[in-house]
Amino acid sequence: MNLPKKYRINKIIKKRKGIILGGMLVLALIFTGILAPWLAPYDPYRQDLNNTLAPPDQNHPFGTDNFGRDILSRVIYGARVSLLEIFVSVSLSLIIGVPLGLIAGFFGGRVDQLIMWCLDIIFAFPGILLAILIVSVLGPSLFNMLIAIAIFSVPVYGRLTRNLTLTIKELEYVGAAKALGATNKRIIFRHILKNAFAPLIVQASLTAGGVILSASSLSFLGLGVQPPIAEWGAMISNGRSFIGIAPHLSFFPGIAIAIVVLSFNMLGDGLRDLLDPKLKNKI
Amino acid sequence: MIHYIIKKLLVFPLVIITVSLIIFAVLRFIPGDPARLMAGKQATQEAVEQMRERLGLNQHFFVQYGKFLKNAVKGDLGVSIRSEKTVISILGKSFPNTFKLVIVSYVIAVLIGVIAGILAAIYQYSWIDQVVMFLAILGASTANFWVALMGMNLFAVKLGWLPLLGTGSWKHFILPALSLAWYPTALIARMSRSSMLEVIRQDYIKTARAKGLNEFKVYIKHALRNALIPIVTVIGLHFGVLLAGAVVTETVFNWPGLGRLLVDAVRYRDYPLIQGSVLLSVTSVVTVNFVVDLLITQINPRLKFD
Repeated sequence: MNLPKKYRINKIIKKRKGIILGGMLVLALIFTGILAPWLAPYDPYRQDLNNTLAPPDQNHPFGTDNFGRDILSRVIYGARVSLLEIFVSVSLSLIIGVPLGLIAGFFGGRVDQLIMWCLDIIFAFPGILLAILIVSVLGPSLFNMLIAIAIFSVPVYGRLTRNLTLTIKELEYVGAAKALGATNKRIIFRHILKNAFAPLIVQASLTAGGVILSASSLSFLGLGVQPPIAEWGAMISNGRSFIGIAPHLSFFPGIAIAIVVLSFNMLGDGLRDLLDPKLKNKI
Repeated sequence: MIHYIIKKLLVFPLVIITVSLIIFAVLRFIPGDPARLMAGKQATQEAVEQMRERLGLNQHFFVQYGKFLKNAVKGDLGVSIRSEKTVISILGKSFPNTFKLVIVSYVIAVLIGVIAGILAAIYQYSWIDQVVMFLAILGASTANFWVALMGMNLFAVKLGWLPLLGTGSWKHFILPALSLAWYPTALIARMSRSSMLEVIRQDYIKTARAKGLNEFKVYIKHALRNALIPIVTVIGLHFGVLLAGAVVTETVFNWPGLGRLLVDAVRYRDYPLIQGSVLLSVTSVVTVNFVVDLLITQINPRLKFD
């Protein structure tokens, strides 16, 4: 198209505003997490029992909690925990789910049936319930919760990878590679996995929001991150007892959760439309 | 079609049995000796051994599982460690409460979600579409327990319109049901919108218009019927989402249901109760998914010939 440059850029921005806005917010989260000690006005664990449940004011823009801890600082430090939650559980479920999907899709037959049966069984459990079951065995802690969340997201990556493998392995260039005598290993890693990469990244971004929601739910139930760690779900849970007199205890961590989930969803949706519009409504 | 239903009917009990095996096996790994837990802290070694004998914990895993399965079929899921009542009687009390809550939320989510999504699709790019999409995005990104707490603060504490906690009248249902329905409504609305948009662009809709049908008939008779297939699939999957969400919602509202029971059971390591409540929840989700599968074959004639 021979549009003036200005219009072209406008068009790109308009079409991809989800990626740009979502991406900027995700970057902001990462920087908040890294720079937490410099951004937070107070030590998130320092108690000030003379100034408890204070509503937002100039000194404490988000107010203080029942131990007089600064909520703004705790929300900022909470970004670190959220980043850790997303990184650990998304990578764990990718590490387990992708190889399973590759094997099922590439080799087919009995192996495929067995793997898919196992994944379907895990899928039959409503997510949080499976996580609660696993946490009840491992005991409530941050890492046990992340393992539990990773396990219930495995079927999502497993199925997606299998379906991608099934499509890609029928393509001509895989046939060509085979004709050239490429080993299965080479075909799987160099051809299939490389081409399945983009949809997997999209899916990872789309599930990142879900990870935050599940993790905060489990922490809210007391089955995840334990106090006094500054985690948003645990902070909302702590504010629950004071909801009538000091709703700001729960309000701000909830807003933080919403912004992070929203930004990962926008980024994921935008990337999906950009990389593969056909996938819309499919994943 | 008959083959498809028979296949599904055969797979259904197999799924339930596998699920029960997983739950049974996973819970064997709970740290701590269940025999000691049940016998009590002061029990002598002898009493613990007796309890182990009584519970059959010294038998082979598969013998134990076989017994569990046999008893479960008869409706005996063991005895709660904490309250010493039978698990089935505890579940019998709390399951109806959860069921009522989930059904009310389900109806709200489906009605509002489908209608809002379809209206947004019909009036694409209008203010209706924008409002629906904004709310759908908001709904998909907020934690339901946070919405519940904020609703409690506004409607129960500040305005005093609704009761804060507990059960009893229909008013007690409003806050828990709406906050539980919040997330699935958003997803159903989004799905309904995109499904309807896809259908509206098809050629047969143009044909229907060209033959002079009024808009209402075009949308309801021609578009909706086809748009419903993916919508019903998504709606079916949301029963599980709602049941899982109920665990959190019940904790917020002190609702005496399955979810709260489960959270308490985990806290007290009451493993027969954990086992029973997870098994009951998963069984109901699998059953609903099964019914939805059958329903889809009914509304999608293409599947009948497979």
